[in-house]
Amino acid sequence: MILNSTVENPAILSNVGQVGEFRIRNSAKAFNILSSGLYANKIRAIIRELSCNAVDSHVAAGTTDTPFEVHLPNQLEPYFAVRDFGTGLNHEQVTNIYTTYFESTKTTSNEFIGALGLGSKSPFSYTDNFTVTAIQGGVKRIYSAFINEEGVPSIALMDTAGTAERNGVEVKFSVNDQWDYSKFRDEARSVFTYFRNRPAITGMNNFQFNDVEYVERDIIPGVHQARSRRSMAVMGNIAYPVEVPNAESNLGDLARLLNCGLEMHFDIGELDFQASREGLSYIPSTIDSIRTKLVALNAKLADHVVERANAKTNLWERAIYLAGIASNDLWSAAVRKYAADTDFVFADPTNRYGFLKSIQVAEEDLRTQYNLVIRAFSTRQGYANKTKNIKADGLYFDDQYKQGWAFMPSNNVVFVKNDTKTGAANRAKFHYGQIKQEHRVYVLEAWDRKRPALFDQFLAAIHNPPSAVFASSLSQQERERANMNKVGVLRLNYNDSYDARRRSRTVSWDRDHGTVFTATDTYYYLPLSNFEAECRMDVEQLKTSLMKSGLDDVSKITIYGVRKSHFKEVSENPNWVNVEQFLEQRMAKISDADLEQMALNLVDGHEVFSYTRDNKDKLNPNSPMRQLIERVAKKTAIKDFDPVSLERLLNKYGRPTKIEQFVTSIQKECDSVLNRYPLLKSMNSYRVDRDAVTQYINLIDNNQ
Amino acid sequence: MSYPYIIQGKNIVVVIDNQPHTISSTHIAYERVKAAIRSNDWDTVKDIIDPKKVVLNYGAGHVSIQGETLYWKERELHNTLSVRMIRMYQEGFPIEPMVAFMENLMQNPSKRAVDELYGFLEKGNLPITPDGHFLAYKKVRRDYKDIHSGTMDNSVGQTVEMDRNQVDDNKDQTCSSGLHFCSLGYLDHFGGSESRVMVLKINPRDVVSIPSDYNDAKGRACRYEVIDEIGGEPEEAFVAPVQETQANGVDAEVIRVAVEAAVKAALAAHGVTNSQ
Repeated sequence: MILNSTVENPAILSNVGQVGEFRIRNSAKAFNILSSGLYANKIRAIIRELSCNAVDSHVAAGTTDTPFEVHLPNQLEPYFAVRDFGTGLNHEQVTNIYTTYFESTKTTSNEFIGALGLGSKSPFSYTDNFTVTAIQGGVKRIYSAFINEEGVPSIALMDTAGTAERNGVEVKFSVNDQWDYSKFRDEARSVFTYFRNRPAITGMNNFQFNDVEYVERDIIPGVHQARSRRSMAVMGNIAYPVEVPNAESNLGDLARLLNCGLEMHFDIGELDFQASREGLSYIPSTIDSIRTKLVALNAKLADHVVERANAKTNLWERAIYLAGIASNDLWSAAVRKYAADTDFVFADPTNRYGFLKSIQVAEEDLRTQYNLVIRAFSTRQGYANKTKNIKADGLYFDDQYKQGWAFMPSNNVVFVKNDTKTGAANRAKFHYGQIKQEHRVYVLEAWDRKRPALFDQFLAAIHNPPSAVFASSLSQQERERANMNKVGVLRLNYNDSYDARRRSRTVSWDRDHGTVFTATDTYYYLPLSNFEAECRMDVEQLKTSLMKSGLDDVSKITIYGVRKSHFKEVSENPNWVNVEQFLEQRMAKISDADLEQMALNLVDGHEVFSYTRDNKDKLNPNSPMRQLIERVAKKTAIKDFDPVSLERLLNKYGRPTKIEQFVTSIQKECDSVLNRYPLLKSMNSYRVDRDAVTQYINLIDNNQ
Repeated sequence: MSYPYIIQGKNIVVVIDNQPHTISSTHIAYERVKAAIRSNDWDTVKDIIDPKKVVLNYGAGHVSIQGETLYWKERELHNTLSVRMIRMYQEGFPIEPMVAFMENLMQNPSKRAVDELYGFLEKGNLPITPDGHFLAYKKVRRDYKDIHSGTMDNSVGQTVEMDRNQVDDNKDQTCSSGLHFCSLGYLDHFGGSESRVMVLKINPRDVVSIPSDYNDAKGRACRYEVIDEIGGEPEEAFVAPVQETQANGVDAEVIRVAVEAAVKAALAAHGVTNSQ
């Protein structure tokens, strides 16, 4: 790489005394600073510097088709090495290059990455000792570069021999610590990311190069957008982070482009860099090169913006498009350039934080010029049926403070032209309230209803917003049947964790949130008067009686409490039923046979049945025992059945009955059957020989 | 014949047969190379300067190398065991314990148990024995009965076993049936201070699972032998990658002598007689 070393401003001396030139002391400290102190990330620096030398050597030899080799350290081969197949070096070159700092053979051409004469010494930043094997013209020379006892780098020729190996150089050193193996791997991945000709990696079976993920390649030639925010400048295989100091003042609007993960490729020599090559040196020419690239990029982006924006003939749509991309760092400068070039009516060049400007109309002008008055409201994202009225603002019109409206282009803005006689605002609120999306709605109505409202003239004056509709096209709220969802009903809740000490009630009336009442399901209610249910029973007793009634359809009833003020709505809804009326009808339907069947639940459990149940088929079909068992077996098990609860409901709601009489009757039957087999009564153990019991029953049956 | 070399700090550069070798303490035979160079024993240097050659020689036909991966009889050697083997070489132990260990390990019927055991050995850094078993810890009650049930005798000399299919082989069942053992990291988690720490000798064949809690620090086996009780600090119990028994207190000297003898034997095998 050609370095610019001409002195810009040569000193003209006149009448000065003795002139002394500055010198650098040839000391361990100086060497240490140049080979080690230079680099923040030493492993990365060594990989980068040695690999760049390899690339340069391949360029010089014309062997760029052949990859150079990089050996990464591992447990069995704990060394790092870079071997190139370039020109190789003779003895003089080796001693010159390696012993002379700032000695470089590459400052005459921009084909080479190197120029400073420091990179070849970079291994000293990690180790005291590395080998250089130089092969040229059939001669192989092995050198050891090391730090001598005075701390000064030295090089020793260790061996010379003839060889058939290809020309080239290998630099090799041992890695100090096994924990560094993975560091060399990771840094190699990072360094080789931007190498055009990647090396052949040995020493690590599964090494994978790091590939940049791009959003877009070649936006302009040599500028890509990567999926990261940080921008990089790539020059001669090396990527430098672009961190222009005072970017806003140096680059203006273009500075925001640097937040877009740009990868900008520069030719060797276009940028100046730090001696460590860990960053750029931001001298004016470097900043100029970056600016030139960004200007070219922005021009391309601007062309794109012009094309897309002009395709939108409606200015509101154009404004919405531009505002959408103006917040993106990549497009921001191009959009502002477009707005400035076209003097775009909705753009606000003075606003650093936003792009758009509103169009303002005074209420007074609306009335006088267009015979219009505006009523406005907004709806909120995610909230149905919620609207908020918007009033006109106090605004300045030519330095005069007036009430007026400011219209800002947005996809959410809607203009409603009232072509109905009444109710346009309510209709619009209903219509847009149903849509769970944010809207800002301006309803335009005639100010003087005797004269025509000039809707179209007004809309043209504000550049024809695309969303303008007639009120008559909006959906209208239908008059509904009384909607129980809007009536505040209470729900009678049964409290499982009843606690006598706290005197909490087992049941309570609670506000019912969240239940959506339908027009088809049946709901059961009790009228409430001062939060007390009007009921023949205490509600607590009613609720528990229902739950333990043993009747499936009754036990699960949810009771709602409806206050007097809502009786009207309830009476309009046939699917809302008074619990007490329902119970009267339900109780009347219960037959004696039903009750007898239910009573069976209360006698089962007698041990005798369990002795014989499994063996009942072995009994005589006419056996009274068998008949009784079969009858009991037919019963369906009822959960949570409390006969007292059922009896209470029957008695209160028009069917006075004593369940006990059914139980007694069955009990008598059981007793009479058991009396027939007297020995069974004396059995009370669960370990019973069932076959013996069966035999006994059969014996008695057959003998009678 | 002598070869050019530079020894500088931990770095050694030597050119042998027109090839440069640059090594430092990361080289597996670093100390031996250094000693051999100093004593001008170039035959040994040539033998051990290439780490791959060293490993192949040490592996005695059991080990092969492809790229940088070690293979034990055509099966890739888990990194834990290759590190263990290299450490054994560096400390002068013969390969036989490793051979025995691998043969025992291959008899384990469960691939999952084998894979999990690598993690346990790596985290626990527990030694193997000359007959190819490994050593681990177990906490027991004062009366040497197991802490969980108080029924199994774990005094020195006992062999405790149960049917393999009675041991829970699900590593996600972290507390379940089986004969438990652990590495140092788990000792503090279980049992009280009123307990004893025993040294177990376990055949890798008998390992059933390594539960996933406690960072691979405990395991379940179907058989183990109790070989010692730790008198001092458990951290100091094991000093070498291969060990007969624990080493704090009385056994330290015995171990030191054994290690020295093994080092000498190994060096003699490489033709080094006047080392150290």
